[in-house]
Amino acid sequence: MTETFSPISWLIVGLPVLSFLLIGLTIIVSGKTQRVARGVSPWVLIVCLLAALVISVGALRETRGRAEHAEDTRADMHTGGSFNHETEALPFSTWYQTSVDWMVPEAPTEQPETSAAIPAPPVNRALKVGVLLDPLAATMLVVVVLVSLLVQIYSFGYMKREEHPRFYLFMSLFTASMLGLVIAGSLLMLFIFWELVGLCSYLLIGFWYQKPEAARAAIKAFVVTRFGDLGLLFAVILLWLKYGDLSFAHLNQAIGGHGMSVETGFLTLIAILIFFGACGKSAQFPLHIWLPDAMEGPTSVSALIHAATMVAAGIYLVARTFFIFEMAPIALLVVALIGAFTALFAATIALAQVDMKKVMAYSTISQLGYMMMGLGLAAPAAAFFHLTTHAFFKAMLFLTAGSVIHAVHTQNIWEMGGLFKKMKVTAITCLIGGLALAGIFPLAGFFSKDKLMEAGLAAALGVNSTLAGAISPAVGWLILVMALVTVLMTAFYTTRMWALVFLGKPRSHEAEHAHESPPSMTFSLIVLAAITLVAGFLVVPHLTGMIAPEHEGLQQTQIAMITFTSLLLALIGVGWGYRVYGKAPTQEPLRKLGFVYAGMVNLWWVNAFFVFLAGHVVLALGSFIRWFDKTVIDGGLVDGTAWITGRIGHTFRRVGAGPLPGQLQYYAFVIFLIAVLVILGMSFFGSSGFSMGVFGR
Amino acid sequence: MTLNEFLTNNYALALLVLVPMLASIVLMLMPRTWSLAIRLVAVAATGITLIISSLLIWDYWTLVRDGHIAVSGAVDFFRIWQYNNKAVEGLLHFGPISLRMATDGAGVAMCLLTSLTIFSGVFASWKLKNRDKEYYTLLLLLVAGVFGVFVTVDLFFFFLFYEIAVLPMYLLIGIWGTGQKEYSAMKLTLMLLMGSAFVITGFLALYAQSSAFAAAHPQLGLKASFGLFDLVRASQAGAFTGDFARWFFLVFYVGFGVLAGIFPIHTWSPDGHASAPTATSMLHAGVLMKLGGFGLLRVALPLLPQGLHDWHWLIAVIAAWNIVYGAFSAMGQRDLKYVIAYSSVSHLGMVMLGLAAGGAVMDGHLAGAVTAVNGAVFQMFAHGIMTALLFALVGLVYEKAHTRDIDAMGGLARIAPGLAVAFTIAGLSSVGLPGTGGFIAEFLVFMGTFAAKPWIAAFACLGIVITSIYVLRLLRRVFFGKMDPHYEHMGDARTTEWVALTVTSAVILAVGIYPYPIIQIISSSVQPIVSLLQ
Repeated sequence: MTETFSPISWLIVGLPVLSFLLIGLTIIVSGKTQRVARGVSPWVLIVCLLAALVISVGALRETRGRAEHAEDTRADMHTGGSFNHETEALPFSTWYQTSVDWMVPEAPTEQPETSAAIPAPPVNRALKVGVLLDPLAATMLVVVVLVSLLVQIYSFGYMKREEHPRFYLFMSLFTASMLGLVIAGSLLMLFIFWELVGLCSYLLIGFWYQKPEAARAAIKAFVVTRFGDLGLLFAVILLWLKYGDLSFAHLNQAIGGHGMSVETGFLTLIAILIFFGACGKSAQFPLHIWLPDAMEGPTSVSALIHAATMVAAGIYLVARTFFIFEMAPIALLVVALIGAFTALFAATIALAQVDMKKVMAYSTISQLGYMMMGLGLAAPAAAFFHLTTHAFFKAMLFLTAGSVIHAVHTQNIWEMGGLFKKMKVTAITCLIGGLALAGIFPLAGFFSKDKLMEAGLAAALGVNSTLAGAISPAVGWLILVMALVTVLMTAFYTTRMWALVFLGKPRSHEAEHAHESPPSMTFSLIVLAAITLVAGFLVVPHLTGMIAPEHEGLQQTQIAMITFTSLLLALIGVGWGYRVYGKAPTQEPLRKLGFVYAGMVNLWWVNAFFVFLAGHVVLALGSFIRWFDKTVIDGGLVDGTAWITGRIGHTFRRVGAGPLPGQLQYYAFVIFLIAVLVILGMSFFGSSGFSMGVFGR
Repeated sequence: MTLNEFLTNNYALALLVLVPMLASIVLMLMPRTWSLAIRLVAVAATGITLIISSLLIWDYWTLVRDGHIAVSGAVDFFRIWQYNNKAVEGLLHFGPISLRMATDGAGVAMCLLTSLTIFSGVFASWKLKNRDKEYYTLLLLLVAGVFGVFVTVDLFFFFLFYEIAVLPMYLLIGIWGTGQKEYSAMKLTLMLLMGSAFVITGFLALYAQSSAFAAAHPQLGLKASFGLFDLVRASQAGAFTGDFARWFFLVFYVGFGVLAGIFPIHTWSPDGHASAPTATSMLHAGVLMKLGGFGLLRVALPLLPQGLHDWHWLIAVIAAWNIVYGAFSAMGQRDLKYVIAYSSVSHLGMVMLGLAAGGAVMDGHLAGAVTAVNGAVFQMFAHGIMTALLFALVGLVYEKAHTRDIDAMGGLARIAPGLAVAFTIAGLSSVGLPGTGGFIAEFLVFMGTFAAKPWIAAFACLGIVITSIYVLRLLRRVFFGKMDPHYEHMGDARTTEWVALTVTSAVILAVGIYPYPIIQIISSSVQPIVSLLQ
């Protein structure tokens, strides 16, 4: 079969890079007024992304073709045998991949130890960069390019004209880095782009750098995620030291498919380290604290980076390295528990937020927790399915929030109200997004969330064989209950937000005079709403089927039961939320909860704790060491030595100053004294080697 | 004479030293009113060294690429030197001392670093008004010394050039400095001279020991000499072992370590850098501090491998402490220059950590050793360029804003976007972000150190997080936030200054994005040294 798009798939990354360079060049040449750059920059990126979209869709089709071809071949080979091709993932060699040497840190002289089970590392342990186009990557590429494209179109109206050049410059770099992360063929390359998306996130959160809060939030985001990145860095180094090649194909071959015998302890450590990195990027408890602050950035940035793509990179990473997690039961347990806890924890905070973007930020954390939970429950396909649907509907929700904020110039939902009549497109798209988030049939969110609940039930019933030894049924039930409670809360807070923004009477002057946003903004909303309507049952499930085979072993009735339960809970949440907030109360009814409400409003004091730790303990340590260096090391040790030397010189000078005044005489006196001492010493201890050595035989 | 002959016959190496030295003499003879001519001579001289060192590194790269210099396997230490070890030998010759010039991949990389730094340094201090003639004279003399250290293979001349590189610093800081410059200049000179005392003691001991060994074993045919190759032969024959290796390695560690800013004898560096004028800080932090690590790599590692093995745990612990301690100290500073100076203390810990991990090779960690030492040399290069850029920027900010107090600044990105972009690039390299040279260096060092000393490496990694805190806080407080209207007329970088900023930023990004050639070049000279350590 001939492939057109796969061999040029590197262009999917190359085009945004080109856009970055072109915009950068226009900014430099268009001088003080920036007239040219303002006009050109949005179009450069949009055109590049359109081209990238064509290539990525083509590459996805070709990847799918490869998958079908491989399935057919394998079915032919095993006809009549007991081989069950439903349960075995396709080998990495199925997919399109390339690599080039990027650096050669060393080349060992002797061949490392080998055994039959583990293939020997290649003699040339070069670090490679390259492309791997498996269904996971190919699907993710399309999602990222599509959401990015729509966000760029939206931003054309949303951002001010004078902000365009710098905004589209950073957005080009971000899109390129994110696509590089997705397409990466080796863990090293993934790590490199992983760091670069962190940089872009920093630059874009601090986009309005003259706002002190934005500058502060940018640092917080960078430092917290970088703390997580240490885990990933350790994992990268340890894997390189052990296997000598970081390409996913090689790692998968070396680690996957050898049963539990391959050093579970080592793999558990690696898996936990990788998960730590994923926690930072994907805002899992307790490293979630940066994401709500990141909302200081422009809303289109929040939509693309902090809802749809970059924060999902942690999920993508774990899904990508899932062959390691499969071998490490304890790691799976940790991932599932932290994921489920994060989902529940963030949902409780989202209940009480008054800032429209903060509600969505905590909702994002909560949904990412769901995905993590799905991974921990050994259902990577379900988690990835939820990632893709969430990318669309959450991006849409954020863009509607941007549209509302654009109109009313506030983010406080208590200062909005009654916007339904004034902003019909925004209100309806926001409703679609909200219902998808709540998990109402037939929107995309329903299908993907349902898969996650099935995974939870499978764990609780103990029918998922991968989880044997990792998650006991009791823990499975705990996780499932947490997930179901979160479903209820999600539906409730989504309804609360929508009702307070769009229903009732306007509660502020701006809300009374609000207008619908320009077509460039509403266009993206409508497209995303259309995707959210159909993606759940038309497109995405066909793709995720290729990513990981389903082997949950649940019966049809059990699946129906869990689907019914979670849908019922979502409906109850929506109904309850409408009952409480539909009439648009003027005061927060949740205040009646007392201490619990205080906890929810104060983010359960987690943020305050870390702010204390960073703001007081670490900085105080810095001030202390500054003092210590100045006073003890420099003042005591260094200046002290100088002082003592000076005193000795001073003492000698006194002696010299007596009978023989003047510098020359002083030196002569000192040398004379030393010579006398040496001669005296030799005459006393004479005979031995010392005098022999100095004066010869 | 073809270009190839020029390069391989060592005229190139000799010219690297001679051109700045001659230019320095020419400047001395020029009238002080010709201020433009003085600068043009300096630009020409440093430009020539930049061209020569670029040609050298290109030539070296073609040799590595075509396989004439092996980069892998157990390489014979002498084989890599054959390529340029002819013409200048015996130019000056008395007794055991002979001016021999040759260099290897690490030396070539360091020469490129030096010429890049001084070339941009001349442009960054273009606006200097006070006694500019003497300033450039001393600067070029200093650079001649630095080049000398990188290209000579005779310990006597090594020391001579080393001192030429160190001593002008006293005048440069004392006369053109700022703040408490006399104190800083005195402290810097005294502490560095203490280091020199250790180094010369070590050199004399090496000579004495090797000549005694040669006399005792005439059948081996060894020569009593200050030449590095003769000493390596003596070392391989077993001249430096046991207690001698152990204690004299420590002597070299302390002697070179002063210049490399090891804890607790680093305190000359923040004061010195903060008081020094721009080009001097650039050159000093960018290149001179690398002489410490380079001296260990060139002399102590090949000659006293046993000593490295004996002390590598101590060196590693102190290096890791340097990284974390320097980062914390930088975080606590309010003066822009002190922040950068302490960040150098922190980053040079990375060089020492890499060298220390090289010592673990005897415990069977070959895989990590080469990587770690490669990383150390790469860090010398990457940190040199990065810190030169940072000091250039600090100098420019100081010159335009008339303050170095971080708390007094803010929002300068609006008025000086060029400075902000360059500062961000340098800062991110300092943080170790992929795409910059800093990442490659740190990654290599940590990869190598993890194999041998995982816990020390993990501790040192804390420095990464602290570094990102202080670098980003610095960026925020200087360039972001609200701008004081007081700075409205500050202005961005100007024509000549752009040269300095663009050249260095471009190199930082280039080695970060495609490190393959430079790592191969460095590796070609690290492999044979590590082979000697085994």
